[in-house]
Amino acid sequence: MESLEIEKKIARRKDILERLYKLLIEKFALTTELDEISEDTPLFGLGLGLDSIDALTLVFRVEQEFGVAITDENTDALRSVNTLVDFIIKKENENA
Amino acid sequence: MPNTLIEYELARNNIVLIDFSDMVNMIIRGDAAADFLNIVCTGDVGGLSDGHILNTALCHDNGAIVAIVWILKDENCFHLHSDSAKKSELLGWIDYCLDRHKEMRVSVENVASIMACFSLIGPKAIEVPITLIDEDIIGLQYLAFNHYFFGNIECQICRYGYTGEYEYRIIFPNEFKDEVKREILDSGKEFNIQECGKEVLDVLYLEMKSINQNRDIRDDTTPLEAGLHWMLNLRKNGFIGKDALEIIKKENTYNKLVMVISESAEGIKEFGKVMIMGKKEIGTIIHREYSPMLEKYIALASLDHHYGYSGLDVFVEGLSGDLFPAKTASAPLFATQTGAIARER
Repeated sequence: MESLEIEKKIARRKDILERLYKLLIEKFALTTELDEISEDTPLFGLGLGLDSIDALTLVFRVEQEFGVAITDENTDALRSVNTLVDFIIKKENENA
Repeated sequence: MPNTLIEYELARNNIVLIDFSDMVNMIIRGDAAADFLNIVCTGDVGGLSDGHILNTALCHDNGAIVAIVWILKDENCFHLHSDSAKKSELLGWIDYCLDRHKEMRVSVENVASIMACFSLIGPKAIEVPITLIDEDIIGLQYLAFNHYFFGNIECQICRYGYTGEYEYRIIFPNEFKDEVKREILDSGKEFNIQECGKEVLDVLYLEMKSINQNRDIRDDTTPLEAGLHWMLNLRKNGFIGKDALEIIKKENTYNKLVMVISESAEGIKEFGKVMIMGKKEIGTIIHREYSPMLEKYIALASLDHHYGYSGLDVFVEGLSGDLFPAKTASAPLFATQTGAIARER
């Protein structure tokens, strides 16, 4: 993996993470700031502590923000912030 | 390959019983108990309601982790639980903090020697408490605990853990240890329950990127490096380590702990290098295991802040010292059976 390619991957991931953090803080009234969430933070239970109702809202907001649909077959993507980012990147690549 | 492959399969598919009786177990009482815990813990203890559990950290003044703990809010007191890995550091630190805050009306009682603890771990772990207690246990949520009677033995059952599977910790007076173990193993026979050692926890935790206090925390590891930002409440009034953590966060140059999955059949060298583009060193392997679920070698690496992201192609040192391709990965590494069961419920 060449240096430029690595930097592009990092930049793309950081961009999606920041947009996702903003969405989580604004839409779920989290009392954290952007730099207080780490990428492998679980979305449910330990971590951000979202619940099953929040899951439905999250799916809707992610589709609005990123144009990516999370179906029943893909709910594994909601393990953590990072796994959700992986899913968004994968779907964006498929749609490109 | 883990020594305990059978125990791993049971933990991920059925139930295992692990003896946690050597854990740290303290009772904190007094008018200032909540205030004291809010000073020594990084998380918000004041927000805990009766019957609920907070997973949080205690830090030194320089922000380095002393220990990761569970704080349980009971009706008239708090309980503090932690792994035995950091027992002496934690006990010493609590004594130091009590001395540092002599003016606070708080007492700390170490009950570890008079209480036993068994943990039931696995997707079927709930079946044993249902049999031993009753179906009320189904209502016990994750990060909650309650007091129950098992025959005439009063016990505390807590739902917390790091393996990604159901985990029920049963805490009761030590004198009933043999009796309780017998009853648990009898009740769990139809689920093929097996007692096992703690060694299997190393791979169970690592697959979920749950911080293993025995393997993953060095003397200078902060919650920020460990990715435990959610344990910090930087908005509450001063806690020990807060000033240092705010500076570290603002500088934003700390190393990051990231999961790595090796593409090679050769093992990963613990404390070996992590390279990018085959020639630039970006970090070190902290802890490595073989994942039977993924059938690959996995590791936790401490990486330079700039490269601390998943999805990158890297190289890691194998046992031979040669470099092998690997990828940084998002955690948890996979969805557990328990996760699927919980979603259905």
